[in-house]
Amino acid sequence: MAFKSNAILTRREVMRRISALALKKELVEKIDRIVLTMRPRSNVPLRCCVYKDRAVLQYKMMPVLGIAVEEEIDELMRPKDYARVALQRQEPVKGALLSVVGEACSSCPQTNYLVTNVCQGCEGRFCVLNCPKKAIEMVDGYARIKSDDCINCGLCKKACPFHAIVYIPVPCIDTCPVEAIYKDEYGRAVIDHSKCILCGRCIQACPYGAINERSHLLDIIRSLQSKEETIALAAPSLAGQFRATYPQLKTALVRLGFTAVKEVALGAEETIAHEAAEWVERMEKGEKFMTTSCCASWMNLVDRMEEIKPFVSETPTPLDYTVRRLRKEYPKARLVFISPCVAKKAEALAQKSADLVLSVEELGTLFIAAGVEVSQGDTNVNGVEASSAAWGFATSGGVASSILVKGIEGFNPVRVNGISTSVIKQLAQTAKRGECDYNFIEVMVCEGGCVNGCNTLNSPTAASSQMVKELGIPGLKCAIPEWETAKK
Amino acid sequence: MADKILVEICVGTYAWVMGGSKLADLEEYIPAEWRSYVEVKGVISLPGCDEEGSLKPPFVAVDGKIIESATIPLVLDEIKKALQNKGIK
Repeated sequence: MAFKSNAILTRREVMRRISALALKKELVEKIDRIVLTMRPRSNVPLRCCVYKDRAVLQYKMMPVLGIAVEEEIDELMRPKDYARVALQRQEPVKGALLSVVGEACSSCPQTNYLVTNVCQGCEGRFCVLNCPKKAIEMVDGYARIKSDDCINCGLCKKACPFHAIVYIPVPCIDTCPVEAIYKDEYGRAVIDHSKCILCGRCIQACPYGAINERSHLLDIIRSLQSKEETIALAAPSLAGQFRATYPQLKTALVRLGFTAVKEVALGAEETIAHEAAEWVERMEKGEKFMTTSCCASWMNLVDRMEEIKPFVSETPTPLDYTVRRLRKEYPKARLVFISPCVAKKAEALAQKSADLVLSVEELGTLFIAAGVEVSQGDTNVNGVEASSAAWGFATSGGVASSILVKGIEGFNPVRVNGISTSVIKQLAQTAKRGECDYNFIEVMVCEGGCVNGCNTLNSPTAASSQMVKELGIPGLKCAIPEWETAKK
Repeated sequence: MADKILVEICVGTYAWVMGGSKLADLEEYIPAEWRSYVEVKGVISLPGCDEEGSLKPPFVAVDGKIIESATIPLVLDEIKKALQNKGIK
């Protein structure tokens, strides 16, 4: 079951309110009132007091305005001051895309283990005696962990016969597959950008909504309000994100002000053809296997894994092929990629394959702010151009399935459906050995594929089912075996 | 058979973005023994679900009773009550 998180809803509410003010061109005048409206004195505070709630909310506005919290110049600057800066910039944000709101963080415990009141103060003293750092003492007959001495080894939890010691995760750190998050001396999360692969799991995992993505929302709204051509590039996964058909979604985007809407799935058609040809060529040369290259987060990981690089496909991504064509057709247009994840945003900006990037989540809030009801669009507007196989890139197994249906002899694929620390190690070992039971490894960092990207709205299973029904994609129940269960 | 319990999920964009998508899998969580008594459908708008309304999205109506800030457990609980009111256990 997918659980609701108030932290995520707060972020969306901030996006919606900022978008609404920007659309009315009242942002600078009214942005300061957002905190008062969203955190009124009459509400029970989420933190210690309403003033802390409001301060946190002000910081959370900064990434929505495209400004990193780490770029704070003066604590006395108000949201309207940052709004003014944001509205005056000529170029969208560059550099690190993830920003940590330190004021919102720091609430997770430093020590991962806690002795609960289930402790019986037993004679066995298993926790005290088995702690390698002597970090547990008895206070008033009950065990207590000295946080300064605890090294989070977990032996006390294992040793306690009453299950009185619990593990308290630090969600952002626990969910990161590449150990790119650590805590500073104040207990606040810090992202090590040299390790981060921008999978965005920490954004979803943080119970305080402290990790945020720097947005292009204002830049996109300004582009839509200008007379310049602004073209939306719809990632395949977008089709499963709203309770609407793809043609309805297209109509809604045009109502937002986009000049045209183009399917990135059309670029996937070219990726399929070239990827299949590259695989054949590599096998003819005697190579043992090839991995995909269209997951941007996977490619960030590849950059940090020398051993796997020779096995990674060099075929350009669907977005790349799409943009090559569109730059010729619309040389003056501003291209806005609608992305399911932050990694794809970074890739698009680094490779200049899009001018601006709008996350699916931001798009949802923009629809609300503009009063556009997605499901009421015309269902017959221009239909759908790309094939089912190309739309299938949205889900795990989709890339491999698109080649499998070509019936190429000897094609033997497997899919990595979501990355984990152990899978990363297995892939590294496979690369070092240079051998694999399969000759095509499709890697998608998010479980389920792009339909489960960090910026999506729908559940991956519901999104996949919707796309199976509407677009005929293979979906999550495709025939490609999964890495975790297959013999490597 | 008594009339079915009608469960209407607001799938309008506002409700959908503000948490309604989490209700997309609701039907999977309805116990098998209830299914023949329950009809689930998506609707674009329910009373009070405009963006500046006083109710908090997402919205679900169970036999006309509006649930704000709806979650799957809340909706299942309301269905259970509606079934009990109709004498169905």
